[in-house]
Amino acid sequence: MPISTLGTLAVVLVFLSCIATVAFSVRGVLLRSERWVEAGVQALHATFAAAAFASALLVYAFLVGDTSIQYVAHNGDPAMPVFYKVTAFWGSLDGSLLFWVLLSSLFASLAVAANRHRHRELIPHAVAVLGIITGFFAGLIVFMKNPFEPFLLEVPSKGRGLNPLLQNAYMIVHPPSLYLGYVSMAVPYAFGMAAMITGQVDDAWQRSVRRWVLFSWLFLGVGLVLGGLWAYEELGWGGYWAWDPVENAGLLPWLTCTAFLHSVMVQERRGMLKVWNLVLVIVSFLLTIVGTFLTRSGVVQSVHAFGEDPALAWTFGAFMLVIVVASFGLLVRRLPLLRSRGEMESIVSREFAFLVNNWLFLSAALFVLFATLYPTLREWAGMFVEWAARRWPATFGGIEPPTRVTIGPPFFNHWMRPVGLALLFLTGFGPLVAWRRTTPANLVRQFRMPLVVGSITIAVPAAFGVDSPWGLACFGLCGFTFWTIVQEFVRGVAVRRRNRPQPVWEALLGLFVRARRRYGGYMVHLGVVLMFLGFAGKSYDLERKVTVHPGETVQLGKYEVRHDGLRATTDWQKDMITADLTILRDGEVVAQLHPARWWYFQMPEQPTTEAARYMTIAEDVYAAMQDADMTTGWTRLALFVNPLVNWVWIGFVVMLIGGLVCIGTRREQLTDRVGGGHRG
Amino acid sequence: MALSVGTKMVLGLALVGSVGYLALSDTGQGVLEYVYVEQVVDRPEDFADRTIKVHGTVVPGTIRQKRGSTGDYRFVIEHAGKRLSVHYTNLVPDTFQEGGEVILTGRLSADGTVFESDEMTAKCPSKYEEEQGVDLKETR
Amino acid sequence: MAERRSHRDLRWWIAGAVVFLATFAGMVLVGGVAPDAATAGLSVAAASLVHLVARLFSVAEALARSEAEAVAMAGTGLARSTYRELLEEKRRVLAAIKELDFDHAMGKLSDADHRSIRARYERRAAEVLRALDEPASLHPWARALAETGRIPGEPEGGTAATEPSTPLRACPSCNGANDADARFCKHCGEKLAT
Repeated sequence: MPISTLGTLAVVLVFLSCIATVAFSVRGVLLRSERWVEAGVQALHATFAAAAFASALLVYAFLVGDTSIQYVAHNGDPAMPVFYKVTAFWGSLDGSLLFWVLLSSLFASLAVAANRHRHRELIPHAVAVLGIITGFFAGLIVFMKNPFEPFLLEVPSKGRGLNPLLQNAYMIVHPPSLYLGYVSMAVPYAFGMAAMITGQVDDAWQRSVRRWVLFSWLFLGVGLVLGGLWAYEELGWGGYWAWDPVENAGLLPWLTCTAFLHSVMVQERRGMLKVWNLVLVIVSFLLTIVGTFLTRSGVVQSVHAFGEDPALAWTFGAFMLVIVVASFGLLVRRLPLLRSRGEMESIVSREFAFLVNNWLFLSAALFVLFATLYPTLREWAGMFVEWAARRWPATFGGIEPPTRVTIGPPFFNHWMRPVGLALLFLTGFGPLVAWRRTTPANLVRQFRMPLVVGSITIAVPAAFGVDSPWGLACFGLCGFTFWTIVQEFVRGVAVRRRNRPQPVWEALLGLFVRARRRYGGYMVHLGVVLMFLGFAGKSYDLERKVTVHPGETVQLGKYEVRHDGLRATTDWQKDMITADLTILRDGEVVAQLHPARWWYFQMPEQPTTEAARYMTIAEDVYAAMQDADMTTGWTRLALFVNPLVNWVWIGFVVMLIGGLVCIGTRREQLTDRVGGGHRG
Repeated sequence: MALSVGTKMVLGLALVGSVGYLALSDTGQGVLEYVYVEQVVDRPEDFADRTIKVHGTVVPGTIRQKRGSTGDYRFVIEHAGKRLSVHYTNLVPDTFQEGGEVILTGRLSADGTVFESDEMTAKCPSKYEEEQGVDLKETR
Repeated sequence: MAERRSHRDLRWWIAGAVVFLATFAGMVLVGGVAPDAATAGLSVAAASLVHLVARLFSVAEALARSEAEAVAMAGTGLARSTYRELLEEKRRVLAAIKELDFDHAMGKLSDADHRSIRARYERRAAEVLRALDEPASLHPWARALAETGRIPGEPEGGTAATEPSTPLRACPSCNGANDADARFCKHCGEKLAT
């Protein structure tokens, strides 16, 4: 049997298995039958098995180069290294949908296995919801975008190959990482929905999902940062974040996840914000679907891409509508059960800081979403007016259709900068104030030193000539927040040592072991501070675009850049022109940079830019070659000095470690063993 | 004891104040009107003294470049049968080529005949679909 | 039961690995195919096919089981999981109390707040410890189910309860609650009619 037929059978089986999952679980719930519930759970596991089989087949098709399959012919190339052949699996739309299904069924399977006996009442409902979500994507594959679709007439002999721009280590990790983040949000959503359907809206469902949200949050973060690194190193414009729709799509659920991770703490401690938490889970999930939609359908990039596949867009639209109606309908129905136990008492309290944090995160997410979609919405309005004018010339004939607009980075920066700084302030402020209310004396005690440090970190850069008010504010808040974190650690260690004399390192370790979530959280905050330090550096960066001949030297701030010559080389997939640059500082050679342009054989008319940079803790010297002439040797270069940019990546690593500390180890097993022994 | 009315009012005012300040201080820098060549050629007076984006196709054979300069191009773009001369002063993206679609950011010259631009997004004639949603066009 | 199931899972994993190696070795040694990535890919596909068949078999097995069997299997899991959940709850409450004391020591909590919140946690801890000490410790919902016949927070006609299919029966001599399939009363040891 050809792979295409077998693979198609496999994806059909995935789809049927999803239907069976939903049908069995619903029947189990209706009949209150343990047997059907169990069958539903098993069917969910079978869905994953079928998806794994289909995925294995597709990877095999790439490895063996079965060009009778359209998807393989379009994305595979026998000359590609094995690694890229495997990753070509999710390189394009159809395969990435299968990848979605694979991950979604894997997570569903894992989550249900882990919680099978913990929240029994929630399980069949969660299974059904997960089955529906996976089934939707499996349905897309079966009915619209089957990656196993064979060529009907002639079979090409050679594949075209994965887009060379994507043949890059970051690009291999970036999409699956974002995908992991997107797809794992389905689990918290399913448990949230199950909680609302069963009416058990207390904290049980959250216990099952907090780790999942954290997991999702981590992977979204990894995906975003790797995307930024990729843009920084590959696109050659000297920056890492351009508020591009695809980047925004990953940022949105990350923002709402962050909000959720904070607001669950309020629910745990004070029994407040229950509705809010459910809303956040629903919105986060919705945004992951929106994100998949935006990145997959091309709706935002261009109205023409939308025209190419209106069926896909409409299907997605309908699915999102169903989610919105079902989720918020249920939420409204369960409102009476979700009444808050506590009340806000003072604005100088931990819960109020959390609340403001949540408002900021959610409004940032909605703002970015709206601004990302605004040009598209306006375009649709324009199309509608034109259509209406043709249909009813009398009524609509005179109306001028709205012109198209684009929204660029300056707009986003203008609005998001203050939000980001406010959040940075809360990062420092929130953890130090008390629950319920804080006395003025306490406030002074907590914030005296951080304020002093904050003032110093404003004064020092100002003395060095940084004059951007936003940059200075960012430096000041970094100092302030940094000191609050230091102070927390110092005081925590002091308390531990007062309780029991012990060395400092032991007390510090004890903090992490005893209150893993809290001090892991502080570490995440520390990462945030370092990242903002990197953002602050943007306020005094340097950019020069020059044309140089070999032997010439150009000045770039305190550096000199010397052009040593051009080299032309070729390898198995591309022609390359590389410039040899020497970076000098005070006459001393500090680095050799080799920016290049690559012409892939597959797309010779579209060369790629390979930027090069000299990295230090304080700044990057970044060079990208825009054009070069081998005969005369003149080379056009874009040169940048990006201060503090590496702190963004360092901060992210700190954040990642903090997040892992929060997720922690499975300590329950240990307790279980100890407890079990005690019991026996 | 819930928050007092006074506190709530102060909070509300702070919120309205900051949003209002942001809205007023927004220079509209990031929000640009996006038009096709024929719209500009037909009614240049509508677009005088404003930064806009113009979408068109580079007419083959019209690209002239000042040799050795850091990006100083003159070319003609067209759309729906109308043509517009462009003076472009910046580095061109990888995907810039004759017959390719470009979106230029800039202003119309005083006499309305030349479009002065220093920012370009170029689309490749879609040989590759936009895989991974990667913005192949993105450049500064 | 859970152990037995995980053992079975392990068996399937081993079977998958064996199929992978067998396919790979068979194709290379017997079929004379080069031991390259494509062969490995095919072997992975074969192994995942075996896994798929196993999973489909599990579905059929679950459907073939009688309701009583399914309930019995679920029940054993429930007892274990309830116990584990209580342990976890205990750990969490104790950790919360520690953290609260810590907050207080660091001056982030007024004395009055500290007292009242701590009292609340202590009550909860006491409840959990008592439940853990009972030999057949019950989940709060299970307890509520035994007492009122429905799960707290569940509206009438709710669909949550999958357990009610195990009706509890009263012992004729001491009136204690017993499982439906119990043969002796667990409170007084009296023989129950079956």
